[in-house]
Amino acid sequence: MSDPDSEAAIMLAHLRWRGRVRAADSPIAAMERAAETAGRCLQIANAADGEPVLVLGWRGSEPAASTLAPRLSRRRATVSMTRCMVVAWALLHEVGHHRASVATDEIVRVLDKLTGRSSRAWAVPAIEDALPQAGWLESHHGQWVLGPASATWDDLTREAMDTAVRRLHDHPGWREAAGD
Amino acid sequence: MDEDGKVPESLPAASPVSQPLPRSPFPYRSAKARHAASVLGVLLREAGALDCTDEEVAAATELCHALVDLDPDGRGIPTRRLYEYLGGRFPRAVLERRLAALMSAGAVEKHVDKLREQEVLLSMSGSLGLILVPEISTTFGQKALLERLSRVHARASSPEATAADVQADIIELRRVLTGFANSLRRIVDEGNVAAMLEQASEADDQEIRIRIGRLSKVIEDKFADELTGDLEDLAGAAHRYVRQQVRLLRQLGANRSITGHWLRSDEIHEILRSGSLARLASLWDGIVFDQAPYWLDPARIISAAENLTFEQGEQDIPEAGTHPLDEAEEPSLREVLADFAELLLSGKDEVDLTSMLLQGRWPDPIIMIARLSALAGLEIGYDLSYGQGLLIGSDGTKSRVVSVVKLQRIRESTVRRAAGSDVAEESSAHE
Repeated sequence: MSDPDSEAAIMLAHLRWRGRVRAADSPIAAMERAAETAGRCLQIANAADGEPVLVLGWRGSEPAASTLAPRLSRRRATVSMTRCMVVAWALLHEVGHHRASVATDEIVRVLDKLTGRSSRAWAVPAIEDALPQAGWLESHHGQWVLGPASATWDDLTREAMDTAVRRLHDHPGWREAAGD
Repeated sequence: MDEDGKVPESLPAASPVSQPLPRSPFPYRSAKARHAASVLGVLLREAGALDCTDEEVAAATELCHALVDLDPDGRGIPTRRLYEYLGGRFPRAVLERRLAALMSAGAVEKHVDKLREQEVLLSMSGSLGLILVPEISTTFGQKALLERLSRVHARASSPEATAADVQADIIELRRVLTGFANSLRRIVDEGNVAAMLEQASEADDQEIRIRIGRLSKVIEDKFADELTGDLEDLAGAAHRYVRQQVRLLRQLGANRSITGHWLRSDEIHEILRSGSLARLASLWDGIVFDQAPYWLDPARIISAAENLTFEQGEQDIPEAGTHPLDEAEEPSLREVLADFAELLLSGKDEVDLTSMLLQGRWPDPIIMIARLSALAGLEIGYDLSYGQGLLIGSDGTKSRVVSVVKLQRIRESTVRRAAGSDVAEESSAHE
């Protein structure tokens, strides 16, 4: 393996491991080529502090399931993760409220109010572990902001999120749940 | 400083710039020598003194063996005979250099100088080297730790053992455990694949737990009043080490069940040495790195929004028993519980819940156990197993006692055998 390839493979490994790497330190072209061989694509997004970072994604709206090595299992977000993400996104995109970040307790409170039952036991692991690992939420001064991977969603996913958020905001129980 | 700007002689002049430290270890040519040098670091003046090739190490070892085998009476043997005996296996120059080094080090002594002939014999220290050198150069990580534990245990059990001796031993042991725990943590944090695999080959957290438990019992029985504090420190260090071991094993086992890659460790080492970029990528996909980026399914987003904005009609609070349970509106209990279990398992087949139970914010642990017990009762592929030990966690004001609890994924075939084919089919449909 030549040195540039080796460096790209190591950076790609870091990227898979940590979910992101700084774009400034990375051999982007070589990493893109290497990611292609594993059926992935490289995308540039901004972290919470504005620094450009690289995240991994795929071409098209849906990752293809593959049976060949390197195996690309479709890692669909669980129901709990999806619900928490929808609520976090809705809180962060509320018209008239300029929330820059949202706390775990706020998301849990909204879920509790909307579902009418305690959601802490499944929501907290999803918010604090799974969503940051997916790169969709990012810790910022003890609260959550949108993570860099959320900036790479395709149009279909964005449209679905916007529809879901409109629906939540129009819901009669939303104002009370969101603490207005 | 005086008026002339000179530093008074009585005070040592402070060095403005400290000596730069080496950025990387000495590039040893032999892995054995590298390990031995790092173990013997405190005795070394120059790291390069141990920089032998594997062939040179083997030649010196064979010279020592030959000195005993060819001269069982220890009366000295001519160097000429030694060179003839080993000449077929090592170049003469290597043998001469190694013998000279052994003599400078004191492992081999000169017996007698004759005309055109020298006789040599193995010294007492050299004989000791025959057993100690292989031990130093091949004893790594946990194996060394277990041997040390055995020695400390034996000394503590001895009737002549004094509290001071045992205390010194357990303080040393605590330092080693702390160092090991920190090194393991660094290896896992850095995601160093080769080092993780090397450590994992001998990691056995159960063994360490048992051995530390036995040692603590022996010491408690004999020196309960004098060494309680030291024993607590030792238990704390052992706990940290075991936690890092468990982290390491989880990290390595994390994604295998999901991706279906099962590789033998020798295969992994081989690929790490010679694999192509694509092969390495596939290996990493399988065992260490995230198996795929998460995918947010648009259909699931819409369904989540529908569930969260579900309105129950005009009656805000339904009368008890008047509304039938509608599975379509809320995810079923089994779905919510299975989701929760999957989050905890994170792709593994088993997860130890004990630390979460000990450290989780109250009442999360009890809610978690209640939900998982219900899930285990559903028999849809998850089970809880309870160990025999009890752990006590304390934050100074409150204490919490928990038993060792593990959440396990049960293979579909086991579920089918245990609960009949209809339950198993439901389980796979749910997946």
